[in-house]
Amino acid sequence: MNSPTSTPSSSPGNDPRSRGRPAGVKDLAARDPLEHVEPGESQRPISLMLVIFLATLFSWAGYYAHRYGGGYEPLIYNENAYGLAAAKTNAAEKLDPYALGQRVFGNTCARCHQPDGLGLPGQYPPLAGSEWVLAPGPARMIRIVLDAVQGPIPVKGATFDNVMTPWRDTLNDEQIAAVITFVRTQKEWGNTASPVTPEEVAAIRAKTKARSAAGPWTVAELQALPDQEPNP
Amino acid sequence: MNYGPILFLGIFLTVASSWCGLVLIPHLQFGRQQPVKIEETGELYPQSRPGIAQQGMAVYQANGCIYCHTQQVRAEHFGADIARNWGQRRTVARDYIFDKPVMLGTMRTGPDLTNIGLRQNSVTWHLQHLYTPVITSKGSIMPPFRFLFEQRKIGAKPSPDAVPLPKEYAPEPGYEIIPKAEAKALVQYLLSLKASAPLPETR
Amino acid sequence: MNAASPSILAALSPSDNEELAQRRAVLAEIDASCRGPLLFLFSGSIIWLLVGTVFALLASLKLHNPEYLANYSWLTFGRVRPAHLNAVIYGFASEAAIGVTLWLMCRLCRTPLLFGWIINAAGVFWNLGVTIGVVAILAGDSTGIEWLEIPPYATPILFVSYALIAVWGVITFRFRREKHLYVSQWYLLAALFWFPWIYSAAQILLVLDPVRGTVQAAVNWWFAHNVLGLWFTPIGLASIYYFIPKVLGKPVYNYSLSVLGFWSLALFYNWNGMHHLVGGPMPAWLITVSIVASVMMTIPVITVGINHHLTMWGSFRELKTSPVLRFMVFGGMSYTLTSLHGIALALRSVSEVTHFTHSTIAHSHQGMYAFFTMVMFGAIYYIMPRVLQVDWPSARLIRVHFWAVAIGILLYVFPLIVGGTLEGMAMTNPDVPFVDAVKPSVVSLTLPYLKTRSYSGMLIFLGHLAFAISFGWIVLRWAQAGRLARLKTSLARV
Repeated sequence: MNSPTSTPSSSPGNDPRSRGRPAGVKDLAARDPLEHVEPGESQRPISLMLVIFLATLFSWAGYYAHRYGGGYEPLIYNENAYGLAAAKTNAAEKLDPYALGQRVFGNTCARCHQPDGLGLPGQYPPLAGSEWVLAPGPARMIRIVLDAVQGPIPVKGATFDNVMTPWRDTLNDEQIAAVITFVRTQKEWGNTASPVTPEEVAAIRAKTKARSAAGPWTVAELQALPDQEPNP
Repeated sequence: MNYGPILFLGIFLTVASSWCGLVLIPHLQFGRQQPVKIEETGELYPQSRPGIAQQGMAVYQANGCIYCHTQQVRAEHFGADIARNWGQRRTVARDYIFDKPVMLGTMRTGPDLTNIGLRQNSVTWHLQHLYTPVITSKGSIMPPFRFLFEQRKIGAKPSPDAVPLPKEYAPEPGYEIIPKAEAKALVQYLLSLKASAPLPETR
Repeated sequence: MNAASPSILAALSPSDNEELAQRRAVLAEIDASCRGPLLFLFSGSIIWLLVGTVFALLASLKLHNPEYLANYSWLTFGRVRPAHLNAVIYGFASEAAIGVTLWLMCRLCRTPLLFGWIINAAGVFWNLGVTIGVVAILAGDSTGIEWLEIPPYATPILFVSYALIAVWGVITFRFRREKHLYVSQWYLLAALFWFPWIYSAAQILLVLDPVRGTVQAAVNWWFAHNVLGLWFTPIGLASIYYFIPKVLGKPVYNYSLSVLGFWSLALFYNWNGMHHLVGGPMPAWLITVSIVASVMMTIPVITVGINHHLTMWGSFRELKTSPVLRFMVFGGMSYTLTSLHGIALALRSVSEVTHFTHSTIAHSHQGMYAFFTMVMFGAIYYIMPRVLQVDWPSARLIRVHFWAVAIGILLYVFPLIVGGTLEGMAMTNPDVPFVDAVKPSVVSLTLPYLKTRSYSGMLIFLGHLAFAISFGWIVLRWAQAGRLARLKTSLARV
């Protein structure tokens, strides 16, 4: 495709009518002397390779549909839950509690308390250096994570008037223990409190089950609690 | 293949086959599911949405939230949906029986919203986030929906509806930011997004 | 033309030449009969192309610059994006497809287009429907269903207009003067019939009287995938099947492969849609069936690929002299690539990573643009001079068009496939934060690729401008030539 001003190409020159047209733009002309008749097809046999390929493909299709078809049941959502595949288990990997805590924090808490744990001034309280986090025992913090707390709440000398999101139904004991441990022991924030076990969380979860229907804790209720959860 | 009617018959039958297989059979097989009673709580699940949340759904539709947010959680062995805490279980067809339209979505430019009502239940947070997303989520590329709010001169006393904003995003002194009805409804819709009831077929 | 394949004209004896001249006269009559409708449809299509590209650029810029034009509700990302999709799918691509289909149908049936004004009337309604639809989406009246955002008060207009066009296409086919059915005709006939079926079924089951729960999602993706599979792909393939042999003066490589390719596409493509829901709340069997059908698509892709590429084989030198061929071959190669990529994307193990990422967007543009749109450009370059009997005014503009859009779309597709895959790998690793102020996150990782896309979009827009200018210019030339001719006749009468 040369520009219209360039010299005419020599190859189509055997047809006089194509002269004077810009070279290299042969199908852009209105009365195209070189326009071919309407296209047709050649007859050739299909190669054996293709036939073998087709046969392989169809066998694979049959196998795959049977293996991952879930028995064509409307309530089977797991493609591995039927027939040959049922034996295959998909056990979730066991995670190091610190890594699990970091993950839960990043995906849940950081939305308000921010990834650096400093919160938003006037909006969401900080966790770094917070007296609520660094209390000698985790009794209050576990309750706050389970059923949330209603502001106003004093943290590090400032008051925050907001309401937290409860996590009783969305996080399990292991996750809550991991995330509280992560927050209490996060050295980058200067937090050096003791870790928490899933058993401690489970105990408080069971004990406060009836209380949870009443909504978030109030600051007064929490302050009335001892630091350490008394042993049952 | 020079005989028109045969050609036409083939064309008809092929498309009819997939219409039967991907539309008709699914409709007959799982297009009439009903809510079920959850053993643990004794409640029926799912429940239809209250009116204001339903209006919020229209706002969600109109502003194309679906192009960046999904409403589906994949199984534990498939992707990191559950590890990212987008849900405690996968979602199944029964979770959606009251949705018209069903907005599963196909893009996750933003996070999944199936359980956003559980993961973030603060109205204030949602209003701040809709007003200017980077207030609450630094680094976010979500567009601000400031047209769902109005700036008003503060009257005799500040409105209880006013959105609390950090200094750098607050309007000039003497003014406050009030969510319009659309913004309030949208937040109610977001808070209504929950798919946590332990349905038997999710196991 | 080179010495190895001399012009057919030169190779034939004088008596053959006479018969050829007669055939030519028939073709000229057919071309003339298509003039009005094609002028209308292609003009409309090009206007929508420009409008759609502007929406696309806006959407792309907003993704990495969220504060850009943020305070106008009409221009929020979630409205501009569907406006882009509907403008290019129903405005640009469908109108171009209808125009090319009618012309190919008439030429292959050797029948002039009768009562062209009916097509014009249908075209007016079609444009009206799309305009109402796009304005409604911008105003916030979308249905919220992907690929079907146009609200129910505009769709009946589209449907009636389409029915008129399809009936006209089928009537042309019914009164064909050529007994032999060429492969392109199978695809065209099928597309004309398939589109109204899927469109009306989806409208009824999703908008007018919605089915319950996720059956909606099944219908939605059955439709959306079939818009590509049963409407654009057949018309694109029919065009390549026509234009490559036509320009080269060679027969298509293998008739048996044409037959196999057509029927395997008809059988498998329409079962593909559920692969957009892998991992979603659908029974396992439904998704498995679609994955199987997607993999079976290797059959039509490979057979059609062999047929196109081996017809082309040995004639690549012709690319230098034929812009039409260039667009067609680019489209044909993209079809093979995008289909093989699509088959890979449908597999569960790949989809786990790439689903929900920008790699899907890259894939759809590779199909809709690098394949289909390029083919439509090539076809319009071939058709217009024959219909108007005027040459394209500037080869330079056509060259700018080709290189801008070819480089633009490659710069769009390949970086975004890479970026989307990296995004997916980050998203399936729960230790990478989704969004973060400083740390690398899923969002921050995609930003360079999203910016590259905006640049590619600007390049593509430049190409479209060149195309629009070319098109306006040839129409102007034709109008002037017509006036000159009328002037001559009136002078002769004096």
